[in-house]
Amino acid sequence: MAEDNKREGKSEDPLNLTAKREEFLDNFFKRGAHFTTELLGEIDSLRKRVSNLSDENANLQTHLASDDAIRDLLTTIEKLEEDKHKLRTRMKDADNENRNYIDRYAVVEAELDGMANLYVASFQLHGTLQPEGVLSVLDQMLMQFVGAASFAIFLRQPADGTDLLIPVHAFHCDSVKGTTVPWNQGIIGESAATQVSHVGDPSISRGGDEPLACIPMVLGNETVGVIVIFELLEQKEKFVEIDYELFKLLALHSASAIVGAGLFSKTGGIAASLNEYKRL
Amino acid sequence: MAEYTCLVVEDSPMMRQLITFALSRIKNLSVVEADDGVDGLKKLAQGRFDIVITDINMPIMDGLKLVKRIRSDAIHKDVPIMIITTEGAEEDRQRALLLGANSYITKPIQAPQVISKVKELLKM
Repeated sequence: MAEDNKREGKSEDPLNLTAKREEFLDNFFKRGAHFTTELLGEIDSLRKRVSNLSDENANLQTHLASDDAIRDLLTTIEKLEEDKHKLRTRMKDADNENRNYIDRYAVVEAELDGMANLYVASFQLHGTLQPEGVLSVLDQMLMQFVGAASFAIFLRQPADGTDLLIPVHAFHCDSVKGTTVPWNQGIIGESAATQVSHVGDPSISRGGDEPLACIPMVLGNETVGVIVIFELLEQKEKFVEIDYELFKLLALHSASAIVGAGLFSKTGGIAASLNEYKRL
Repeated sequence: MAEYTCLVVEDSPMMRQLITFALSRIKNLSVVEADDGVDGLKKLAQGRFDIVITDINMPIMDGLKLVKRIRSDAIHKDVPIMIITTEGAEEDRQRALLLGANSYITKPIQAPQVISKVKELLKM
């Protein structure tokens, strides 16, 4: 408009111009102030946001760190679990091995026990050269080692026609004293003739005159006699493994001990017995 | 030198040998043997024993009399006594225990049983 007025040659009022300038400047500054206020607000808001983001970032970093720690812990736990499993397996193996050793120890103990019985029995049986001594050892073996409550020892007696078995020792079985058993007759006679042991079940046959066990005493191929057990001690309920081993020992060693002691007593002592070797 | 001494009173040489053999498996235990009750008393008078093992049926002096004598002995009255016998009846067991025996085992013996009882009585 001023340009128009200039072109038209008209001149504008200077007061009016001043007022307009003042108004313009006022508006300009007002708008500047408003803009500045807005800018300051926005800066403040941004600062708050940056602060929030910083906090959030710090939180996230903490989470991340704790996650790592948890991951490490989980790895450690997993490793420890593996170790525990390995240790348990080893412990189980060691336990089994230990049980195995205990079982084997018990077996060895039982075997040692049996061998001690057999050693002592054999040692004692051959430790005497007197017929009474041999019978006494047999007596002790049957009562204390086998647990026999009543038993008898029959020896072979040659007779016309058929051999007989006569009792030379009886313990708690008076009924057999003075009797004879024909060869190959009854359990006792058959055991002597066949050289086969008879071992019954104590729980079925307990007591009475029926033999519970017959052990033929054999030297070479000859039957020397028979050991007959009629009854076991009250506390002895059955024959056990070591009894069968003792029966085998009795079958072989008692025959030689009986024959040896018989011959020894006949020859007249050690010196006379040794003379026999001079002829060799 | 053995820490403990055991007196075995048994008339059967075979049983004595077997019991001694079983006891030889116990460490620090020495064994003295006696043939019967009287021999047992003689051996007791000669030394100090930590345990006595005795049979019942023996000549001269039986095991029950021996138990009675030991229980009235000033030195050995508290010594543990184990009976090893063929007598398996309950009344025999009770009689022996009443007289002062501490343990009662019947024959035929099992070595592990004897060893375990001796260890128990000696608190080994």
